[in-house]
Amino acid sequence: MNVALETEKKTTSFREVYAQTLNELIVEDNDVMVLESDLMKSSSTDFLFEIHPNNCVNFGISEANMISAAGGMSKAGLIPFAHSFAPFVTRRPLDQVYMSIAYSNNNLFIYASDAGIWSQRNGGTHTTNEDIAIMNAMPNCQVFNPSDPVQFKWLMNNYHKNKGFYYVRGGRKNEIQHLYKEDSTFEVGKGIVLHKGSSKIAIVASGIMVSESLKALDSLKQKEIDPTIVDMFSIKPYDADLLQQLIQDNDLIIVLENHSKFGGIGSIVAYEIAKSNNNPTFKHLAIPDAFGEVGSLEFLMDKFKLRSSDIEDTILKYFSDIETNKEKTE
Amino acid sequence: MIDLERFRDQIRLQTCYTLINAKGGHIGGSMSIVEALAVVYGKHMKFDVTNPKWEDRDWFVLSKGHSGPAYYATLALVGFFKKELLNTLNHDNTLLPSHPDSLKTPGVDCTTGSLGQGISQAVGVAKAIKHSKKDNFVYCLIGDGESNEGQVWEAVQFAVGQKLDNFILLIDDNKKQLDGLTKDVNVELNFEKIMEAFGFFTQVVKGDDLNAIDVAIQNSKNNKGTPSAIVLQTVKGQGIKFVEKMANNHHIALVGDIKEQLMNELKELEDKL
Repeated sequence: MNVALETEKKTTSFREVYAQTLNELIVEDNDVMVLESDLMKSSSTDFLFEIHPNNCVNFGISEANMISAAGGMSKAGLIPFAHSFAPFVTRRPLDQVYMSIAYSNNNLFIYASDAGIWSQRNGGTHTTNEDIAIMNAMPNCQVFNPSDPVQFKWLMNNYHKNKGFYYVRGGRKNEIQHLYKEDSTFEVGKGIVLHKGSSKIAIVASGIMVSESLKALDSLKQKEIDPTIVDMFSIKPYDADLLQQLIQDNDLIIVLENHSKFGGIGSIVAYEIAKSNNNPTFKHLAIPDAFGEVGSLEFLMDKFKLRSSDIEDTILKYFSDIETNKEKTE
Repeated sequence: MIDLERFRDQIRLQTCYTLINAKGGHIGGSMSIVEALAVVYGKHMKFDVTNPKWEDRDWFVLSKGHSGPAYYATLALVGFFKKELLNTLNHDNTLLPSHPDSLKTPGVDCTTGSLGQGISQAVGVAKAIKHSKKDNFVYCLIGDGESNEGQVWEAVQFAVGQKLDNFILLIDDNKKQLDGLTKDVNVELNFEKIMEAFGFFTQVVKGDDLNAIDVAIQNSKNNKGTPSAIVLQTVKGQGIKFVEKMANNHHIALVGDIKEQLMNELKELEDKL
């Protein structure tokens, strides 16, 4: 792992990263295959169908066939990348993902775009608040929620190099600020401490929620509160050593996630706390047991309380609860 | 040159022995594909038993994975593994699970069992072979009951759209599925018309006619520009008279009287061999 933080304003959309990186990989390796189910225009891979027609396959609207056929391609030695909106590569073809990919030990990179609240104007039918929970429970599946374009690109290259089954969820059209410098390298199963704080408070997040955590850090510092910020982009495998260290070193652990409160990073952290002899306070900011709905990203973040201000409120309440308890005992 | 009639009888006999040893199993759909397996593996498939993952092999995908016992008997007889292994079907720690597993059994190309997925994997393989500019064939065997699955028709469209003329689909049209006759459970399909309408080069043959199956496969191999379908008019339990007559013969227990009856019928086959 060799991580440097980007200090300049620099944004890219995930779909641009996806299409451009695939272009580079195809030029390098003719075995790379781009699979779409009538969403090449949504993932911006359409230009690849023009310049690399032999490496691109549009299955039409048939995700089950796409996933199983990807398994066949993998068995025959190709290196498939398949994209669709997150629900259509998880909920819909789940048994295909299970048997034709995971159980068969086939190689596949799934780019599940518009996961969680990223679905925005596509609304509740297209929202996945449960995809991490589903994919985490599937043996052989590695689960990632990359936090910036550089990390997303690294995951694509890493899959190409090491093969396996990668489930990678994220945004699509939205421009996303680079957190990491272009040449940063990461490690599967390793979290990243973006900021080591001094307040015995740790915030664990992934994806878009890492940026929100960093925003919270800026305003909390003005209140002389200095939390540690961790990017847990690798959800399975996850960095159990780092989590145990955080549990040992901190009095409050906050998990912020663009996912249901069941079966995501919060469940993992709670499990690690339960295993530990230490007993920090655990706060979980996640989507409740509820369906998604139509709205802007801002509206959905407000509605589900996934804002930097929600982190601040949680920490301030934590301190005021401590004060109240003190007064009660005095 | 392999004697196809003898090979057919050997597959049927070994499959039944395997099922008797396991005290029962999917005998109906295993029997109805014996002739197809005999012709594919006895005459047309290019494979190397010393190198099951040989890059220049032809592929076979048993999409109706519950007929694994007939598939295993065939693979053993051509030499992918020892016949003794057949006695371990469904035993603890076996290499022969009820549904084919490419990670466990030598010679099994794709893992199947969840119906509809085998045909999709097979068209994926056929596309990959085209991509690699090779001239190998992919044989895929589906059931008429399996064709209730929508995924089958996704794969069929894809094979036509991608012009996969290296893809040869064998359809075991035995008119039965687990719960009864296809026409009673859901619908009896006219595969000849349907496959033609989708754009497959389609032939219909008697499913127990080795020569007809052989000719149909040869025709399919010569066909260019479209995938091929061979509709096998079969009988569930084919070749074992008392099983053919059973109303429900998808999966039967082979113990007691039923086992004795089967053993008696097998004696005729044994004597022939």
